[in-house]
Amino acid sequence: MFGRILKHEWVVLRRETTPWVLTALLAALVGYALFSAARWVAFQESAIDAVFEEESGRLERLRTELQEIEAGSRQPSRNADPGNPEAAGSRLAIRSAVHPPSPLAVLAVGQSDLYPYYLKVSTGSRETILAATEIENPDRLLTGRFDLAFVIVYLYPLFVIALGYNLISGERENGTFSLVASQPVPLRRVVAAKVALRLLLSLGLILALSLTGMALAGVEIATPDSAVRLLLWFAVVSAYGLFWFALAALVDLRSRSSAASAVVLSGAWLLLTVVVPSSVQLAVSAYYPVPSRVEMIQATRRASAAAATASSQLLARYYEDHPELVSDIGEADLEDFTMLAFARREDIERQVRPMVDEYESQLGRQQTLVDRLRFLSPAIVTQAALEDLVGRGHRSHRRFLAAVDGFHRQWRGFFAERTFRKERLTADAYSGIPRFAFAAEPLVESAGAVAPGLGMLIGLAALMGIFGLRGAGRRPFEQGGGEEVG
Amino acid sequence: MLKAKGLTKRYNGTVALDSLDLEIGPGEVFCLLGANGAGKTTTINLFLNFVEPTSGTATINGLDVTQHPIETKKSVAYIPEQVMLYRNLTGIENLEYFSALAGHTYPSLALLGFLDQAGLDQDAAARRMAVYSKGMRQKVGIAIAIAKKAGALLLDEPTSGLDPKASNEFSELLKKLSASGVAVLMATHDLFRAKETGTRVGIMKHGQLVAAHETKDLGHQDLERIYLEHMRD
Repeated sequence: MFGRILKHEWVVLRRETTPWVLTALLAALVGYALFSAARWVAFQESAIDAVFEEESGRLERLRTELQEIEAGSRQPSRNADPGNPEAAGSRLAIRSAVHPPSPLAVLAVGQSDLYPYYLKVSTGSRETILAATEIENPDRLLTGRFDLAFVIVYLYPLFVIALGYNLISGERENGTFSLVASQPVPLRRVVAAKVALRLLLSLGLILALSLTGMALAGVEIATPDSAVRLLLWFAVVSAYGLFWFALAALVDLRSRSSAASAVVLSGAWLLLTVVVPSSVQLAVSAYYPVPSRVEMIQATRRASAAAATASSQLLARYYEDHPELVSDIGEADLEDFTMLAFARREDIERQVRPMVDEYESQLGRQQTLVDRLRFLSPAIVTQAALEDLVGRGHRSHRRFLAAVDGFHRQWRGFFAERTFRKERLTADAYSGIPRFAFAAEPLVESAGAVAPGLGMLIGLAALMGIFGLRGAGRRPFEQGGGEEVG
Repeated sequence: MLKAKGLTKRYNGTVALDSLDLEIGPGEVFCLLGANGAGKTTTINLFLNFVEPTSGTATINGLDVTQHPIETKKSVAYIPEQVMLYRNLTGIENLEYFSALAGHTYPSLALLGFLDQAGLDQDAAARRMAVYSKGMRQKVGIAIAIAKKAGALLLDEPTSGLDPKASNEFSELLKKLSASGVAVLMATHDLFRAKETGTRVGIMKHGQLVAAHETKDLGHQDLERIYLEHMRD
């Protein structure tokens, strides 16, 4: 019987104009979203390639120059000596820490256009490294990029509402409902079949379009990790679709008319995808305000000025903090600019550290609060899950920054040690300069992060489904139901 | 077959049906007459379990409709005043779907046979409902009821809006069905059709069955007189 109702619904839908228009619109939106994201990924990949190409060419030139200096055929430059560890570590031999797009990156741009995806790591301060980003069109940053996650989180619910706002109220208004209700078939089975068909069609459409778009964009699902992530991605999309269809069915079954159902569902969409996420953002900012970046910059400048006036004491203090770097140097070395530079940077960082710590801990508290409050809106949960699964979310960016911090410490240690031991870099030593390697979040961790949200979506859909179908099991004309009672 | 015992329905204190006692056996056609709001449609809705009785019971083949809604719906076919069907489906497709909901699977030829019995020609059967007149839709509704092969038939003003020829054809069909043992409960305003088709008529007023007569004992003018007398009070 269920299959027969499905077939009937399919024939009815197929012969109506609205579903075709909606399907064409959704196809166009998905297509454009994938195209837009694929262009962004291609741009990122080409930028990363260019960064690596420039880096390897520069390091190769420095190595050659150093070989010539070592062979005595060339005099080292006073300001750009590749054998000087301070010059190499701060300017000449700097490397980039890259956050590469994942194989599934075309599915969600996320915040990747706001966050830096490569950082040039030097012996400079952490703040200097993080502040160096590409110049981007501010309008584009404000509006964000159009991607598939946006289509699914914000526009797909409207598609669901358009298909589901009159599941039963439409039958009431068309007058077919009384004949259906007089048949020996539970009404909940009719409603379930209507929802199932629409859910299957919309998900099938998104799945087919996404796979086609990914194939056209040249995405290869080469590893089991990517395949499982893709499956989880579609599981989240399915659960989100199920949530909206369950809501549509619940509202429609309790509405007196399809117009009332449409109004309530549109309100729910506005509330859950716009009002609640904005309110969460506002509440989080108000509850945990982040210290001003301008204050941080001014504090850094004040610390720089103070450090400049206390250079000699700084170096002594630096040695106190790093006794392993103390060599048999004489008093004259205290004037050594390169050593002072290290000491000065560290002192500035030490002074600015409380504010940076406060800034970062506030960001951390904000994110913790967002993580908790995300359950107020299926839209937030879904967006976070979709971005986390393809490595484009806050989690992945925090992981990247943590890796950059570690690399920065390693980098500074490598060059500081050689600077304070007064060891010149050799051509061979260049191959030992630290390299950054980013390890994406393991699948188990991503799945663990996504699981509560997925559970919430399925749980809510199940609750609404049970509640709605229980309502469908009640007598259909008990409250008037649009039929004349004579 | 169809039995109401003390069947009562109140909507927020307003009595729509008041202690109806009624029994319609196989082959009987019981016509319910009465003004708008007298309780005719409420009676039918109660037999279909569309609304819950405030008190009393409605049974079909001895089964309480509130306790066995699916089982009892298998035994009863329903034709509303306005038969509205799926506009984008043809007559035969509508018939096929509603037959499937009723648990029957028929070949096309059988479906065309039901439509023919209801008086719809084959050309019309292949056209979409969007181009059907009310009379044609009503005929598809009748075909749906015939195809259900139910032992009871509930009709809510089925000839309302039909032309005299179609009404007459409908009466003939109803007679055939009752002759085959189908129990019929028909709500109608049409005194003539009630006298012609019914084996009994009942007059409802303010939710009560105030009179019931065998049609064979009444002339056309008797029925009209009795009806008007009750309406005048």
